Amino acid sequence: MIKRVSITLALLAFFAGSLAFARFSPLDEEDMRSAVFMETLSLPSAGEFFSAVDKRFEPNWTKLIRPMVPVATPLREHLALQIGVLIADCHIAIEAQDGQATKNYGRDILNLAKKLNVSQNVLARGQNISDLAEKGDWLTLREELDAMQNDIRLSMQEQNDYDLLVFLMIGSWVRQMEVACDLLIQTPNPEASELLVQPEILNHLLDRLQGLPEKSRANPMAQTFLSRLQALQAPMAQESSEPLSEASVRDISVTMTAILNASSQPPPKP
Amino acid sequence: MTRALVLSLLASGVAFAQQAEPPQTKPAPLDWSATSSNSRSRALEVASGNKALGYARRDGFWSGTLEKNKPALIALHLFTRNNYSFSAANLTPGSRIRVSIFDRLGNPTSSEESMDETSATAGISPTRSDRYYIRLELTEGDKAETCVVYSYK
Repeated sequence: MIKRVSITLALLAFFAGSLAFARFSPLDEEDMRSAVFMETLSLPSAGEFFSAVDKRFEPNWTKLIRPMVPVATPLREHLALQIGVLIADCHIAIEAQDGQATKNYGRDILNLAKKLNVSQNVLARGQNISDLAEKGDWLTLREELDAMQNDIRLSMQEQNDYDLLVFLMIGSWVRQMEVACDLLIQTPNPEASELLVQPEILNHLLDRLQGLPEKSRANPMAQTFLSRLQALQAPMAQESSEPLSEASVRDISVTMTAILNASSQPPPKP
Repeated sequence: MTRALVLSLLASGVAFAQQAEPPQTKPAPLDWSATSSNSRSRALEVASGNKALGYARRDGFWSGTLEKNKPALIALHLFTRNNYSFSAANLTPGSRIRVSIFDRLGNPTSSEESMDETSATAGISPTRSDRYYIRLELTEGDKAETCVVYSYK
């Protein structure tokens, strides 16, 4: 009797174990290759990145706020790039809990976005950002700014300006990376250098740049970004958890600053 | 000589990374349409439960029709020291969903998981800033319009 109960229990344990294994069995290569990559979900937001930066460095965010005057430009790609940079800067102002700076960046984003004929939704978001900054509701501000960025994306898509999206993404990503590089250079922290290792995101941006129509790709700004970002593939390709060397951090920093300098000047004529 | 070897190894690493990159998907306008607003609203409602704990919700989401034995897999980049919570929901009677999280090698991570009749959540505090995968699957029912959103703090 005892033996029969033991066998039954052993069988039950075996099946329970099999079920648990099936439920938590690893993904295979094919699964991972077929995974969906959506820019609105798969790319981290600037708020998310700065949240991680904050935990690593506890920086004085107020000191990271910088006056940025949007540059007049006839190029829609350049407008999109500047909007991306300003979105990252606005997240910095939110981290600093600086209501006035948040409102200023929100206003600048809106002014540039209007030049791209964005939808009414984006204009309403701009008002919300101003109201929330007034109230000091920093958590909801993060959400609202993320939503504003997506509404700008949606407007671009609706107007068949899909090609502008890559410049919006580059602007935000490059500013995020520049901030993290500066902090790493000022306060070396090898373990924290993993924040900069984002090979899939870099490759995605490169794929998008390479996938631009010939006319847009021939733009000197796009060419500069392509060559600069391609140079980062080697330091970001590391598979191990070894920290980035100080030289790699400096290389990444130089690249990001060069791209940001390009965004703060009128672009060269194609 | 050593330098050449290192460079060639790096180059092959880059090539491998490019091959392993999942196909890029253009965000479909459908993802933003009102047809998914119900399951999205429910997913946001579930996620809003975390707001009191300091979580901010991302505006981006995945939505689509989940079918039995056809899970959806989404690639994401998550950062160490952040906490993430994934909330999925559907409004199809008699169906249940499950959310699971995997690391870049495809290994299941230690994640919390809970489910009720219309929603499922899973959380993770990554030990490494890296690529992760979120799997959505139908555990009961044949087909269900489903949406997933995530929050971070």
